[in-house]
Amino acid sequence: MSSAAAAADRWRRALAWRMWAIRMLNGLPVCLGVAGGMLLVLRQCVSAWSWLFSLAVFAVGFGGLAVVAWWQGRGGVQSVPQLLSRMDYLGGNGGLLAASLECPIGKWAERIHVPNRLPLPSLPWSTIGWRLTAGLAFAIIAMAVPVYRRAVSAPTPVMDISAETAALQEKLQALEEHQALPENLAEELRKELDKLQNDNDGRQAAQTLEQLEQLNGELEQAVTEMERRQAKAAETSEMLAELAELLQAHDGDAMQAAALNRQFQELMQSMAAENPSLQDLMKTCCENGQMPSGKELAEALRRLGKPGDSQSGQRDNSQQSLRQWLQENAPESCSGLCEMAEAAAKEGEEGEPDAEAVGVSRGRGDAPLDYTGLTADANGPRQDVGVEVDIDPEQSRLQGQFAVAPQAEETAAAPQAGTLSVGTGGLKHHERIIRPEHQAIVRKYFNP
Amino acid sequence: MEEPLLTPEEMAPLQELLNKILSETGRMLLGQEALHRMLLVGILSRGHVLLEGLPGVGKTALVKVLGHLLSLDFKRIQFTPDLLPGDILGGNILQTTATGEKRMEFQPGAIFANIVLADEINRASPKTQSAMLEAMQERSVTLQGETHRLPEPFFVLASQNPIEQEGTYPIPEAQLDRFLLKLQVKGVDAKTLARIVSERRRGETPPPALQLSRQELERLFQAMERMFLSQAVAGYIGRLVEAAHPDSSSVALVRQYVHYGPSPRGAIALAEAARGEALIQGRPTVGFEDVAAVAEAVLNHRLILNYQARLDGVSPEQIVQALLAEVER
Repeated sequence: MSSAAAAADRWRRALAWRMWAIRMLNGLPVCLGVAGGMLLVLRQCVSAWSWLFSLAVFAVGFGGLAVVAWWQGRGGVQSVPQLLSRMDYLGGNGGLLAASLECPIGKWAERIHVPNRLPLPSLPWSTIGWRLTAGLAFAIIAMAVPVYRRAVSAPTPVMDISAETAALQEKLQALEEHQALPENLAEELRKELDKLQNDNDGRQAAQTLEQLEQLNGELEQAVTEMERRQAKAAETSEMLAELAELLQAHDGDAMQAAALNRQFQELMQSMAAENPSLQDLMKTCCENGQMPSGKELAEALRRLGKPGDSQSGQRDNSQQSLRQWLQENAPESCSGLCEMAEAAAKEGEEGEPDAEAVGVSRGRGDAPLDYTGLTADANGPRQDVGVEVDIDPEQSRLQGQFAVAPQAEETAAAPQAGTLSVGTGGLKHHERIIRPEHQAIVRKYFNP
Repeated sequence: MEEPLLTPEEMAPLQELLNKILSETGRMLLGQEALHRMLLVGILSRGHVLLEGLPGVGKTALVKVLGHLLSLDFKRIQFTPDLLPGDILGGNILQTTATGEKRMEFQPGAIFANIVLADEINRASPKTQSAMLEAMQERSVTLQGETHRLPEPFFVLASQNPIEQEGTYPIPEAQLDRFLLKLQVKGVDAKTLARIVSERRRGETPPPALQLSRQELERLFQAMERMFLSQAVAGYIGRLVEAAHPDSSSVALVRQYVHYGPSPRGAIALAEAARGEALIQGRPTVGFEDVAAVAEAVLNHRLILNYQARLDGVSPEQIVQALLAEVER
């Protein structure tokens, strides 16, 4: 390659770079404007905007501009022969250089003058000055506009309903154990509970909780119903036990006693229709061929009313309650029993004992009357406490043992002096059905 | 490439000869070196030259000196309104031969010379002008079916006075195109005038110290045949002529003031004149600068300006300068 051709090649490269620079400068304001506009839009749309994104937008813009400028600049650069022709003129070679491209010029080549400095198009600073300033200003403003931070909602946590479902499972199991639910209903509730537990993905938290509440409500309703039935059965058993004892203690003639016994059996049969336990008891009695004595029957009935309670024979007997119960539940054919109970109630009202003389047993040992704590020897072995000699044995008769301290109802009348407080509030609490899940601990308390 | 380029050894004596011609012309006619140079370009290009200038600026003297230096047959025709074509071209005259036979013989007119000075050509009638211009184009004269070749080389160096328009017949543009160059003969400066006054008694030119032989002139013409015009320069000439047309020009002055641009003959003339300029410069190739040097003389009478140009005082020379400045080389 001759010196002229080498110079032309260098010139061509320089021209290419200069053309690229010119195109870049001409396109720079547009690029800044477009990038600034994109920044404005993106900063309002993308809340998680960072300066790296801005950098990326400008980098992409400048990169694209550089490629476009290079592509366009290529067309503006002349070929080497064209540049040699221009060098011919610029060097004052009088066509020798241009002719050398077409024919040998021999010794004339020595006279070719290659100019030291070849002209390059000037950069258009003067023409793009204000446009570049405007573009820069716009880009800076676009970067200064604050990013629109959209309120970020916290991700919905997956609700954990394991505790609720476990509690419901426990309730359901307890109800099933006590046969408080029909089998099909129990099975349906269990399936519903399993479905709730399996389908819970945390997205329908409110609906799941609502269904859990509904399920819990159904179970609570079943528990309530079971408690009601148990309470009714216990009341029936207790009242029948009272009646049996009263019947045994009745001192009438044999015919009257037989009539009363017949009415009592008729009453038991009518009560057994709604009380399977009582029904079982009567079947047992029938299998034995004869009805047990009044006391044994009372014991059996009390055990039936309070399963596991071995002290049923020492429960309170309230003639008033018996009278009322008979009035409400006994059929008309049992009028003799009602009369007997009414007579016994009147007799009881005339000679009620002094409550203060009897006192209230609150379990083993002393305990503060706050109904919360246990006595100091609550977990110790049972101790038989002898009755003081100066106390009337009739008044110190054990009326019963209660899971909770007797509490007087606000609506109930205050006990009269000398009456047994357990006869009012204590008895009602005593009659309360202990929830199935608490029965084990209650049983353990009384039978350590 | 039909013939190789002129070597520097071949070019050197030619350039020396041309320099001698120019220096001798300059010695005999003081000042106007550029004019002498362009006239020599016209001679080397075998083109006709129109000299335009005020009376007394040395147009006729220049042509006479040049004819003498080149050892060419020189004739002068003073154009007047009553000049007839026959006065220029010649005619058949009835002659009696030695045997007594009478026949028509062609009597050549004043145009049968190597250099014809058509003085004040615009004073002749269009009919005479057209007869003259036909001979210029064809380099032959046809009378009554007989074609008579004009001597080689044949140059018409015409002159015209731009200020005296009364009783003149301006040369039509189509005929102006026949002239290779149109040169403006301007006055000289005070310093030159002082030399003229002091060295020229009664305006007589000193006797010539140089006279070329026909062989030397022929060598110059042969060298002209070997002048190389590169494609790049030819392309430049083409762009220049194209840009002189208002329809295809990117030059604002051309679009605004030019009514018609040069014809292809103008491009050919430009190339030929550039060859002559290159030869005078002592180079075997035509360069861009050679084209630029002769462009004004070649193109100024081929640019037909519109009325707006006349009102704005825009001259063809300004248009040519704008073309040279804006057309890319």
